Amino acid sequence: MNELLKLSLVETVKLIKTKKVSVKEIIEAYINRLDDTEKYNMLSEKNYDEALELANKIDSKKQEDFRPLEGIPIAVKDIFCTVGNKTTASSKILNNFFAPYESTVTKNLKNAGGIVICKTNMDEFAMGSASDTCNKGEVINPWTDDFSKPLTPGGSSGGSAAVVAASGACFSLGTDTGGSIRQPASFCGNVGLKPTYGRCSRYGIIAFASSLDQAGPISKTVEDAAYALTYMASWDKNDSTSANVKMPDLLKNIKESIKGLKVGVPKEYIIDGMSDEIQKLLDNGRTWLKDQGAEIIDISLPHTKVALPCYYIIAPAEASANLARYDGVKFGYRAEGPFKDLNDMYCKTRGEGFGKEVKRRLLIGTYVLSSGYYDAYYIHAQKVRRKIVEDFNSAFKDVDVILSPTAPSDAFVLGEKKEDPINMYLNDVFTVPSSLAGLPAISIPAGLSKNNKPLGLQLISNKFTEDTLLKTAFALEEAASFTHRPNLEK
Amino acid sequence: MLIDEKVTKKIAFLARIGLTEKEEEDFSKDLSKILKWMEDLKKIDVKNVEPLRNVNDIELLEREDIDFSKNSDQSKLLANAPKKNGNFFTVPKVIE
Amino acid sequence: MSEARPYKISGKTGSWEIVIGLEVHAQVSSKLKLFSNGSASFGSNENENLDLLDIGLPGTLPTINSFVIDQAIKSGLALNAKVNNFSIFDRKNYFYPDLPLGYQISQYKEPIISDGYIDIDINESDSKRIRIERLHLEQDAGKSIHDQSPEDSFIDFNRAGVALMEIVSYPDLSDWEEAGDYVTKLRNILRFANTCDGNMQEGSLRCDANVSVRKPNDDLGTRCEIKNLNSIKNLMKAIEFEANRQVALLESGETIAQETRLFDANSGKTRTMRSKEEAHDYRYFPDPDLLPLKIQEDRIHKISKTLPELPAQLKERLKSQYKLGSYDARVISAELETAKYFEDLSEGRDPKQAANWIISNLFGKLNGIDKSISESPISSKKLGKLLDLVNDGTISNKIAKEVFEEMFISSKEAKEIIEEKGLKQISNEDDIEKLVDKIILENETQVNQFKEGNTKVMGWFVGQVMKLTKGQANPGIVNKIILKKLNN
Repeated sequence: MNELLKLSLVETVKLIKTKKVSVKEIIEAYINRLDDTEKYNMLSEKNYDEALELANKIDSKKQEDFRPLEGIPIAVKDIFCTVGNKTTASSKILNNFFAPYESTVTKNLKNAGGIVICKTNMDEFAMGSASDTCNKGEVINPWTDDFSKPLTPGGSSGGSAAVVAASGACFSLGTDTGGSIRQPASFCGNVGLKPTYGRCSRYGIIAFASSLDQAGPISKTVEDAAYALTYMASWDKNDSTSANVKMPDLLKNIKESIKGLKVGVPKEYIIDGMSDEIQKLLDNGRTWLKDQGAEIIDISLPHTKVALPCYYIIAPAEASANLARYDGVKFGYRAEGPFKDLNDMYCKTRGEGFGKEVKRRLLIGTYVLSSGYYDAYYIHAQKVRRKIVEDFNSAFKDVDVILSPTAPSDAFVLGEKKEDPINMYLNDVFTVPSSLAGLPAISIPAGLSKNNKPLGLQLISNKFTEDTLLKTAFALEEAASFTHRPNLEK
Repeated sequence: MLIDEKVTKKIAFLARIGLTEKEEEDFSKDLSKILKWMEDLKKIDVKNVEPLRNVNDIELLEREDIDFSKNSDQSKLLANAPKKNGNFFTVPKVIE
Repeated sequence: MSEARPYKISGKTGSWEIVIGLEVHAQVSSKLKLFSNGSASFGSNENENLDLLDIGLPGTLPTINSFVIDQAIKSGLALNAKVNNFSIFDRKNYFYPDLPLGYQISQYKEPIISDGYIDIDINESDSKRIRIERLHLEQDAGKSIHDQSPEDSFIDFNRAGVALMEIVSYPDLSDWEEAGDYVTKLRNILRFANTCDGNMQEGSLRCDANVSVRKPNDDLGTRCEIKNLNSIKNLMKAIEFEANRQVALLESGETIAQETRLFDANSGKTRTMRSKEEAHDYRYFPDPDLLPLKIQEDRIHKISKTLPELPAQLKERLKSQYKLGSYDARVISAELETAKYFEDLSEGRDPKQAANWIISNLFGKLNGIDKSISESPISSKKLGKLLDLVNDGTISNKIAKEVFEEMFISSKEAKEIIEEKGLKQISNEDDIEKLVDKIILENETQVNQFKEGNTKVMGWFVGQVMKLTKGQANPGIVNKIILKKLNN
């Protein structure tokens, strides 16, 4: 493997600044890598021409004019609107959609000098946990050994996680609604960071569930995640839910000691049927943090168990309205006529344009909002959601950070859970509660399963305390010293 | 079963999603299972609990009412239209 | 306050009471839309006033227009209502081609304004209070155009997202005249407050009417909703038709089906649009893209200070400042333009005279050609000059009316018409004396009658002078000279 591809984001930034290597060389190395890894079906769009053009421009620039992400190749989940590329959310219903505007997050990154090298496949409209609902086919985890039984990269940001695992970009962008950054990061051996709700603007990100969606980076290291988030986040007047809360300096204290830090381990996160290896992983995490001077405290988050059903009411309800705009009138797919009437056009267009999981969730969402069920389901769920928020609020009176596994298992074989939606939803059991509470959370690769596949540990911190979160994550990363990479020469 | 095919059909029409018969059957089963799984939620006592509205207690930002500046490229707004006529989007005739 | 007007419908089985509640959609006067930077102006080329959100592009988000909130607060204050410190925007879900997001952002359970009222005049001295349940903000939809092609409907999103105030009354209205008065008054208040231009032709103000009938003191009957009434005339006609339709059905032993109906202005009838079974399930829920709208007291206070004079206050001022009678004050204050016209006209003139001319002369002519005062061919300035000519004795009142007629047709200045037609009043005493002398000389019989004590014959002499001068002689001077000569 080209040595350039082994560098972290932060290392690459430093190298580019020295001008010892041209940006063109770097971009070419990554393009070659992406070409060599096509079998994983990670990409929805290649943006190579523009990337090379930008690289040439940068190479003719003076060193002192370099911006923080100058020349850095970034893989972008196909849910961010980017000008000049298709943006489809991996759905047939947006099969040929070109956004006439740029999402705030990608605009911020481009303004910082970043180069979008490709867009990545995902679960359709970010609804899934296996990247198996993409209209361009399943994404395959680069950790797969046996191609007759390909592994899932997790989802929904499976393409973005897989690209980083395959060293196809310095870092990638994902979105996380109930775990869609953290779970694939865990499955692919990456760091995946979901910031506080409101940290990154949602403007220009195709909405799944507005009250939960949040953009974040998937990277090789914790420091990379801190660096990337610094240039992604902004208070955006185009997004009413974006928060005007100053971002702490994420890099300044990241390597500081965590001595005296209080880490809570919720007893409810030790669930029935959890495998020994996950239990062991969690025990390791406790020990690693304790060894570095943190105080481990057993805590309780009593409503953890109902977080999943709560999430599967709220997210689909919001989605049922968010996806109503895909009606074949203004953009995207329209079924072939003739139509009996207007409703016939709607039903055919949406029936053909959406995949099975999206339809399933739209039906759930429509049902829980419909007359006679609204109070029993939707309102009730929002009340339970408040209980979940209160659980965390009281926990954070006693602890600074919460430690848990990221996912209940390692990467499973694609197709394994496809026919059993509830079993699939259980993937999000550890990630959903913090999503419902809008809290920042991160997954750090922390060990290998008995199948030699990566396993992640999750840290959750209080709102707008990404600095504490990242400092703890850095300590955990150091202790775990996970250096495994997938073998791609298969 | 909580959801039979009649209910599924009704919901699907509300959501304007055309389903095949097979899908109606499958989704009825799925939805019944999912709703049953959600029953746990009802056990939670939420008396006197206000439904959550937003996770962050922030102020709604207001935008100024300034002079309209025309979108620089109107063709871009119509460029993705599945069907159009001049600068109109078009749909099969609506009769009401 | 007083008793309502008598029941409008007496059927075969006796009197029927009509119960009417109105939902008025008033477009907020603003430059930009409620949640986007699209233009709120009327009459541009199709799909030209758009921002990205207005066609529901994926990833676009709503942000609220501050001025629109101020306008809603102002309207609420003008309607004697409560401005809520906390309100919520909800999504109202339904599919229609001109609804770009697949939902309308509206306010359902917690509106920005609640509990207001309007007093409508029942007669010269009595008024009736119509309570307003709420005023909430919501987005308008786009426009579907059906007559451009045989196969397709054309969609124009210019209006999509424009801010509307939906103003919902309690069912306090008892007949179509009250309904008409209520909307007229409501429209007037919003126009005075400058929060809605009230232009019904352009659709800036539209009504839905909920109508039911019952026997006096019975429980409420089943109601029907008549949608999209775009003029006060149609509103009144539709309610009249609908109430009579319901009475006829009930009196023939049938029941009323709760449904949504449309009014056909050509036939003057309402017809079924959709039944209760087909009613939408709107699945309202709070819009997660927006936060609760919190309004502080000092903002309300600040806006209350900018509230202009409203019709009721104006009416009182017309009485006190201009000493107008109650009837004149009511008519003059009924429309913003009338009040403005009046104030311009009475500037430096007799207010009573100004009011008289507007009410008796101008309105009569305008009604004849179905035009409003703002479309009057005679401006207040021109009419003022005409009145000045009366007041300085150049023409008589009678001639002035003739000139007015002519002005109404040609829009010419009064002076011009008077000169062209030689209508100037003759006030020169010598000229009039010569005429009077001539008449006395030629009509000995009438002179003798006068001298015998028949003073009525005086009028005959005046008539003769007027005949000879084509009515242009100054009547005061004519009288004076005739008396002087006959008594000699």
